[in-house]
Amino acid sequence: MNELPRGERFIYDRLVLAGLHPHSGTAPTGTTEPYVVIQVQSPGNDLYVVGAYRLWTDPLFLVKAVAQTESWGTLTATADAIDTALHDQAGAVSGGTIFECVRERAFSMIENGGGVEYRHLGGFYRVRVGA
Amino acid sequence: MIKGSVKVTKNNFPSLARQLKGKIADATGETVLDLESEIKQGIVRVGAIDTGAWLNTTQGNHQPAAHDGDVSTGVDHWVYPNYGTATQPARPVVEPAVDIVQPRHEKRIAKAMKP
Repeated sequence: MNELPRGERFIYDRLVLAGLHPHSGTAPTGTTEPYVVIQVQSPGNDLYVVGAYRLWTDPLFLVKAVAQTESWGTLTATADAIDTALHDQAGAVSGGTIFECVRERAFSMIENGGGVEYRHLGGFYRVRVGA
Repeated sequence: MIKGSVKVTKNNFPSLARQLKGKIADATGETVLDLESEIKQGIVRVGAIDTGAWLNTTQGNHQPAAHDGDVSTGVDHWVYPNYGTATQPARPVVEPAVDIVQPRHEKRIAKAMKP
């Protein structure tokens, strides 16, 4: 069983419940901004107990709002909605159990290229997921 | 009421503390090199070697006296492949390397703490 898609599914479902429209990896050209992207930032590590029983693995997801803008204000409400939807959450998805989802740290990045500026605002979320 | 007293006849703590400092410094140095290696392997693995600048400028810096260290790079654009851009998906290197090295570091520190 692979836990990574279960972890991403949990995040996706939580964001949809919050009224957001997340995309995996990148958003298609022309997507209304600000948009939300989910990406696996690290597969994390497995936690084993006696008998090689895998209790969970703890992938790290970067979840961020992205827009062509020169102001953080354009992204703040969406980034706040992401955090409200994901931080300190737990639950279940098809084929998996989410023991914990917590933000490890916030994320911001300014992307400059060709005279165009994009800003990215969100957070790194550690998900402990068993499958 | 029971009263008691403790008389210290020999204090080994200063000696133990001195030994521990050296062991912790060694462990931290190993971790810095380990992290540098994992990041470099990651850069190659994800193919983020257009100019080689990220790979070639990635370097561990160990400060034994402070029991500290870091891995830095001389380029700013590493964030684009590592975190993705508006048009390009991420090819993460740094966080996977940290997740690989962290449990090894914890084991090194635990080993250093043993008498």
